[in-house]
Amino acid sequence: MASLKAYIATRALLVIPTVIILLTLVFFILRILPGDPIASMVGQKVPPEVLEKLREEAGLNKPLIVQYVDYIFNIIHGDFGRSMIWGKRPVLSEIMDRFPATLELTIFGFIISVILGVITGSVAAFRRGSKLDASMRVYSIIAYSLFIPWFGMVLQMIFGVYFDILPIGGRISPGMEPERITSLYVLDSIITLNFKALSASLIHLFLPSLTLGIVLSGAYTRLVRNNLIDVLSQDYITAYRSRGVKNMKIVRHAMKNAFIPVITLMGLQFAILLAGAVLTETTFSWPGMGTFLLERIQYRDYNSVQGAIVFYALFVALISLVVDVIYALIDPRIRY
Amino acid sequence: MQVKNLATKIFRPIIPEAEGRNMVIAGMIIVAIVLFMAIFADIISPYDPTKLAGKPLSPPSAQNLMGTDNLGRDVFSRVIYGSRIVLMVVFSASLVSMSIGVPIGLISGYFGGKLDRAISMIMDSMYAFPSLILAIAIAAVLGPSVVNAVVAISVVYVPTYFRMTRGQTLSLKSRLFVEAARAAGAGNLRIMRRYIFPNLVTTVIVVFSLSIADAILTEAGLSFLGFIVTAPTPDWGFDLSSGRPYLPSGYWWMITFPGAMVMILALGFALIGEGLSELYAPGRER
Repeated sequence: MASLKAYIATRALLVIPTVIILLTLVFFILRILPGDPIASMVGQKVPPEVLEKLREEAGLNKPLIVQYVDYIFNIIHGDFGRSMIWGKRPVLSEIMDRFPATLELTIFGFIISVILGVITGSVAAFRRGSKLDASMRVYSIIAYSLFIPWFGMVLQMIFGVYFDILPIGGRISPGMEPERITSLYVLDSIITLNFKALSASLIHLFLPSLTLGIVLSGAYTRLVRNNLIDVLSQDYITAYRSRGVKNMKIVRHAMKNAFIPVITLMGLQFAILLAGAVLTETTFSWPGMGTFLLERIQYRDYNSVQGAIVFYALFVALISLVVDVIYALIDPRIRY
Repeated sequence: MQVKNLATKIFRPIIPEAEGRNMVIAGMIIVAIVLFMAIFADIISPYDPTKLAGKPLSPPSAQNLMGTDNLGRDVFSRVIYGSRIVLMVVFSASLVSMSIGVPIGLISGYFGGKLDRAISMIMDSMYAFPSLILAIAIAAVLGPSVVNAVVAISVVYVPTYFRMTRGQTLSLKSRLFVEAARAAGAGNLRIMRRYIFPNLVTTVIVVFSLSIADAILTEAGLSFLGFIVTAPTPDWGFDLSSGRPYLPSGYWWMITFPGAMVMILALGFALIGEGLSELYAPGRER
């Protein structure tokens, strides 16, 4: 176990350079790229004095190196600046208002994609070379090529407009919100035993998370299939078979080993999940981080835009750390 | 060795390989049709995509095959013209990211050392970042335009080419034929150009078509969010977002057709990429 702890500690330390690189990348994009972010966000019709004032508000008139140091220093202190519109609230608390919605959507999307991927992938692996295998492969390529807003809208048209059984937007019916504990509506309504809120939030979650889940499941289908086939052809499985071990038991053994690479994919998929969530949120008017980012780009709220992107960067770094730790816990070979 | 392997792969008709070939052919047909649409849009499309062509919001009919949009423009004509920007953006962006990512990956992997570690770390961080969000950030700073979309999308895909090239170079540089070349007195530049690069070409082609499929979805996403074109320019992603307000009233044709085209085109390139990787990367598929 000592080596596991050492591994986790090393891995945690390695997050620091990754975070710094990501933050620098964001800084580079927002402040060094040609083109004035404020001007391009505000448009051409604003008098120069106003532009100057906005630039000052965002701290963009100082020398770059000072800006960079300020920027890193503030983020380390959890200071994302203040929003430049309306109440001028701290950006971080605005993000915290929106992030749970994205987290809830991505968690459900993630679960759906893994379940679908494991089912389709195992079916393909156990019926390898059959028509079923071929159709699972077609499924995975088509799922991968689906354009999220379009697929989401098709589902909206079918279930929301034609059959009129599911809502086409929003996170919950107005006034139904459960008491805020974690701000994940499903979890909160379970904790507070508020079943009306639970069903309302699940109904609203259904189409967006299904959209996201189906689109992302294709990658799992392939990986699960190929890994399972790999594992099933290994000697110890043949040995089990020859000794007459029951099929179900073999499946259990095979699944465990086939799953190790799937976990790596889960880590990579999380970034794709977040990107997909931006489109899903826009399609389903879901009040999460993606709609926050886009809305603030439209309102030219520079500080919030920067804050949102920095937050994404930090979140991605955290997830990759978590995945690596899970990986180490499951696969003993990875520890060093 | 590689070439001989490849030849036996192509000329030995076993089922999986036939499947790979069929996938490539199906993908190529799709891409060819879309290319045809883009090139001959002026001839094929029945109406001007930006002008009134019928009663607004009329459903598909003989006059307007895919109906008309809220401004009475012909959806079919807009779908045909819409292929132009997506193809242009995606092709140029992929060429740019390929011509940046491949050389850097080759040099980084070949020389190794501190520089390689530094570059790899930067590329890995970029790769880990959600691609669409990165593209949105760049497009938001640069402002909405077709050229800026090319910049944003090409930045996003550089790490894909870098990682693939670097990985391949690492394994190739310790192979016997490289050592033989070095023993015969070939310099670093010559080894990279004459011995390693030719062996990368097939993989680059596979990655190119797979990442184009992905880039199409990114382009459509950016366009859907309003970062590429403005009205009245036809572009699939953008047209899909213009149709969105009319969804609850059941005007399905404004949404179904442009969005389906995005999927079909992405599918075309994904099929080519998958099929090629099956043909050229033995052992990956069983």
